[in-house]
Amino acid sequence: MDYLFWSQTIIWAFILGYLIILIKKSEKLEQELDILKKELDKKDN
Amino acid sequence: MIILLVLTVISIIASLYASFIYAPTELIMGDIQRIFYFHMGTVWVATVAFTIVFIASIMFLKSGKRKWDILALSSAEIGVLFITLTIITGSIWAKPIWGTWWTWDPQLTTTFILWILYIVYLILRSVAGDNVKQARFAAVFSIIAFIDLPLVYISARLKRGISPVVFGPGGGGIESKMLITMLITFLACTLLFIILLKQRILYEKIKDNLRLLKSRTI
Repeated sequence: MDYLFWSQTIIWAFILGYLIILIKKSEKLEQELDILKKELDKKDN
Repeated sequence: MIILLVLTVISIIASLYASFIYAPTELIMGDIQRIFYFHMGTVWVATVAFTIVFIASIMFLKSGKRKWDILALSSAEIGVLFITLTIITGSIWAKPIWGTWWTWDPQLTTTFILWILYIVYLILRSVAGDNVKQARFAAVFSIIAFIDLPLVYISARLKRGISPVVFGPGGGGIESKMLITMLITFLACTLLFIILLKQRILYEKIKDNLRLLKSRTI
């Protein structure tokens, strides 16, 4: 019973971990996007 | 997004509580049956995900709009994640019940083929990149791959192997506390799917914007 509970909890944690990785990767790309936008604005001006 | 995330975490905790404390022990299989709630939840999400891939791929072929391509790709990735978990949890259940981690039962075989088909789709889609023609080819492939999904369900009913049938004609039915546990787990899996899909789509959109801006700077 114990090993079943922990294996299921680990699987849930694994999926939530995948979600956190997705959020972090999106944030990183958004920062990159902002920097690039600012650079383009500077060029245009 | 934060509210959805909080609701998802609460429903996951509720699902764990219901699966291991609230639900009664199954008379024949014993405690190992408790993994079935989560197993069925992953089956449900994979089914929804692959159905979305099928619809989005048809819409992409019809309209050529990138948003449908993004939806298909994102949903396929999550579908593959959940079908992998279906196979893993199914094996954990099968070992003490059947005495083996895996057997080439009709339902297991069609599930394995489904898993392979969508992995191939993800490879095709990642190779395609910006190439519209190759993206359309991947969409056609995903539509053909979808044919296997109803086969997974039909195979267990038409050609009886050793996979248990619980719901529908010929199914054994389910006790009320077990049904409530299953519904809570379905809710947790569905909420997790929604949040993952939203985030995956957002990630792909940001990547598109970045690619567009980079092409302007060159």
